[in-house]
Amino acid sequence: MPATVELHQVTKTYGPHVAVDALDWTIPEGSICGFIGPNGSGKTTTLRLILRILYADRGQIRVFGQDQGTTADDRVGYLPEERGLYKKMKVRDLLRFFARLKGRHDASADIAKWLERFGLSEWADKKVEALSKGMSQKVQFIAAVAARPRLLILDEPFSGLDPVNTRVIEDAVLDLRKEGITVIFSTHDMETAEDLCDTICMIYRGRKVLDGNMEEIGQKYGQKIVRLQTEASPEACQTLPGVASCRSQGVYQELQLADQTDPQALLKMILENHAVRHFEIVRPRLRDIFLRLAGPESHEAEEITHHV
Amino acid sequence: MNADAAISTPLDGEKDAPDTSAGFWSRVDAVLDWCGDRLNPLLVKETRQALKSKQFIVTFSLVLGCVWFWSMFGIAMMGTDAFYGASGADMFFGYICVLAFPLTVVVPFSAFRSLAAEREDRTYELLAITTLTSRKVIAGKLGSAIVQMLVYFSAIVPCLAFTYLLRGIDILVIAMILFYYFFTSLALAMIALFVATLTEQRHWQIALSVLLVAGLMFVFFGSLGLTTQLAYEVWPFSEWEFWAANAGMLTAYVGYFALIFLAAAAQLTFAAENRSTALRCVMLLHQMAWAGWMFWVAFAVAPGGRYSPGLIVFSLGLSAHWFLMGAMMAGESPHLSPRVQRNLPQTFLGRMFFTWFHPGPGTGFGFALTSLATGIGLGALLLIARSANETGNLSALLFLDTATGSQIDHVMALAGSIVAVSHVGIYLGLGRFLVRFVRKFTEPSILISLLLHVVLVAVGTAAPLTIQWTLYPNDYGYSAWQLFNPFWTLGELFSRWQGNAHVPLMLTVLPLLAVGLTLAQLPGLFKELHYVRIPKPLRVSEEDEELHKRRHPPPPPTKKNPWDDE
Repeated sequence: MPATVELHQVTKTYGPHVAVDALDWTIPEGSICGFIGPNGSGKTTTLRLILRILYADRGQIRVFGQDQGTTADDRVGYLPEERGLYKKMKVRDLLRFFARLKGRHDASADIAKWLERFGLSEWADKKVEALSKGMSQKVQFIAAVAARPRLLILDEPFSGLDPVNTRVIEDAVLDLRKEGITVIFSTHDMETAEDLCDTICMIYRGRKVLDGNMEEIGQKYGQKIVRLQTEASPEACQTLPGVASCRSQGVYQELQLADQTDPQALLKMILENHAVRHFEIVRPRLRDIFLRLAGPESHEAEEITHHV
Repeated sequence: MNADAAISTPLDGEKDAPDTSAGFWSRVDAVLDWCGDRLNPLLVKETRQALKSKQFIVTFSLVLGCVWFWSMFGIAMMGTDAFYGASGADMFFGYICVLAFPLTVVVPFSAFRSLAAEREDRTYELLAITTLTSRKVIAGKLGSAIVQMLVYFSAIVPCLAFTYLLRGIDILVIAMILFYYFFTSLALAMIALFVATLTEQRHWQIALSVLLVAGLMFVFFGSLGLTTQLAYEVWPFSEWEFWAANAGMLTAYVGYFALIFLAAAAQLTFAAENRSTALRCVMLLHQMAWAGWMFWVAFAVAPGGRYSPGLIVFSLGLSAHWFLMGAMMAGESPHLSPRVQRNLPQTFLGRMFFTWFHPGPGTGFGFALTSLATGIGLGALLLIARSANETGNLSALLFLDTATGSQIDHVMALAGSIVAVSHVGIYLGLGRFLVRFVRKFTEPSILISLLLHVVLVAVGTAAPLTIQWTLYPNDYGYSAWQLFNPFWTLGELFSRWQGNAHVPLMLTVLPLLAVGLTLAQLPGLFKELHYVRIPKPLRVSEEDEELHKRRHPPPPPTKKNPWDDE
C-alpha cells in the first residue's frame, strides 16, 4: 500500500530540548493511524512538522510523496489541538470560508450534510461565539473535512467531548476511511485508539517506542501475561519456573511471564500437578502497554529508544 | 458524509459563471458572489467582518455625526461670510480633523488587531495550511483596510467638495492633502500589520500594541499640525521642483512599502521557504532608485550648488537604513532548508554575484555592508566628479587641494561617511556575535535581533558617557571615550572639523575596528557559503509538473470550422 506520509530521521529541537528525535514513521494510504504518547512527548510537534507549520532541523518529511512542498496543502485537513475559530462569524459562513481556502467553492451541500449529521443545522446561522465547547469542536471538525481532504490530521479530537459526541466523531472518522481518506489522530484516549486505529505509533521523549497494527503490538507485548484459574495457590504459582510475578485477581491469577517463557510449556507444567479451569494468554490493552512504556516506574521505553 | 461522495480535488470543484436566470436582486447577488469567489477570500471575509463590526459602526456613526455637527456649526459661525468671504480652508481643516482620526488611528490599529487576533486565536495556523500564501494574507488584510479607508473618504468627500465652493482653498490642494492622507493611512496600516507579525507571545503583543497606539496618536496629531500649514499655504504647483520632490518621496514610499510588505509576509511564511531573497532584491532596487535620484539632482537640478551637505545627508540616511536592515537580517537562520538549497546558483559567476541574496545572517551582514559601502562610494564619486566638472580642476578628483573652503567640505563629507560606515560595521559585527550567543539558547526572531542591536547602540552610546562623567565629572567635552558613540562622534566631526585632534583617531580606530570585526565574521560567512545547490528529487519534479497541469489545464480546442465536432 503506498504511503501518504513518510518521515525519515526527522529531528526537531527547541534550544537544548529535543522535541522529536530521529523519528521514522510511515502512514499507509487509507488507514487510520493513532498517534499516542505522554504529554510533552512531541506528538503535536510531529503533526505540525507534517503540516509544515514547523520546519524539521534534520530528516525528511514526505506528504503525498512530496517533501516540504506547498502542493499538499489543499489535500490536507487539520483539526488543531488548540481550537481556532473566528468567533464573530456565522457557522455556515465560517465553514464555507475554510472550504474556499482549501479550493472548494461548492462545499455548501457537504457542509449542510455535516451540520445535519452532527445536529448543528439549527445553529448554522448563529455566530460561533454562541456555540458550546462541544459544538465548537464539531464545527472545527467539519471545517477540517468540508474541503474533502485526502489526509486528515486530528490533534486530540476527542478532548472535552462527552461520550455521545465522541461516538459521533468516531463514526465520522470511520466513514472517512471508507472513502479512502488517511486519518492521523493524536489522543490520550487509549480505548478509542485501540478500537479505531489500523496502526498505532507511540512516541516517548521524542523517540518512537511503538509502531505497528494492534495485532503486531499484541504479539509483541501479549505473550507475557497469562490469566489462570486453577486449584494451585498464588504462592505456588509464584514459584513456577518462568513466572516473574503473580497477582491474584478474584478467582483468577494473573501471571507475568519472564521473557523466554513459552506459555504452552507453562500450561503443560501446571497440568502435570493441578487441574486448570481457565488458561488465557492475555492480549494486553493499549493502556497497559502505554503505562508499561511510559509509566512513572517504567524504564522500558528508555531501553527501547537506546536500542534504536 | 455519504459513501458515494467521490473525493474530488479542490481544483475540480470551482464554481462556474454566475446563474443569471433568477430575479434581478438574485442575479446581482449571484454576480457579486461569483466576483467574491474570484477575489482574495481573506479580503472578502475581512471586509465583511470589518464593515459589520461594532467598532466600525460606532466609528463611522461618530464620523458622520461630527461631520454633520461641524457643517452646522461652521455655517452658523460663518454667517454671511459663506457668500462673501473665503472660509473654505477653515471648514476643510475641521473636516480633516474628523477624517484624520479614523485614517491614522482606527484603520491601522484595526489592521493590527485583525492579524494579531489570527495568531492569538490560533486561526492563522488554519490559514497557513491552505493555498493562501502569506503575501495573500497580508494583501487581504491590507485590502480590507483600504476598503475601510475608502468608506470613510466617501463619507467626507461631499463635505470637502463643499469647502471648495466656500472659496479659500484650491481643489488641487484638497486633492493633494487627501492623497497624502490616503498614503499615510496605507503606510500606517502596513506598518501595523508588520508589527503584528513580529511576535506571537501575548505579553509582547500587548507591549507592541501600546507602542503602536502611541505612535499612531503621534502621527495623528502631527498630521493635524501639518495640515494647518498645508491648508493655508499657497502651493507651488507650477514649479517642477515641487513635483520632483513629491516623486522622490513617492519613490521612497514605494520602496519602504514593498520592504515592509515583504518583511511582514516573510514573518508569516514557513521557515523552510526562502524568506529573504525577495527582500534583498527590493532593498537593492530601493538603493538603486535612490542613487538614480541622487545623480539626477546632482547633474540636472543643482549645477553650481554645494554638494557635500547632500553627501552627508545621503551617507547618514543610508547608514541608518542599512544598520536597520542588517540588524534584521542578523536574525535569519544560518541553516538553509533543502527547498532553498534546490534554488541556489551553481555557476561560478552566479555564486559570486548572487550569494549575497541567499538567506542567512552572514550573507546579510555582507549584503548590508557592501550595499552601504557601494552607495556611499557612488555618492563620493559623484561629489568628486561634479566638483571636478565644475571647477575644471582635476585635483578635486584626488582631494589634493584641501586648503580651499569647498574642498574641505568635501573631505569632511567623505570623512563623515567613512566614520558612519565604520560605526555600522562595528555595531553590526558586534550585534552578530551577540545574536550568535543568543542562538545557543533560543532561535532569535528578527524582533529580538533588532532589539539586541538597538540595545547595543544604546549601550555603546550611554556607557562611554557614564564612564567619562564618572571619571571626569566636570568634563562635558568630546573625548576619545566617545568614539563608539555614533551620534556625538559624527556631530563632533561635522561641527569641529578643522583642527580637531580627535579626527585622526576617528579615521583610524573606527575603520580598523570595523575591518577587524568584518574579518571576524568570515568563518561564519564561509559556513554559509558552503551550501551548494542540491538536485530536486525526481518525484518532486513529477509532482510539480502534475500540479502545474492541474492548475493550468490546456485550453479546450477551439472550433475552427463547422465540421470540427465530428
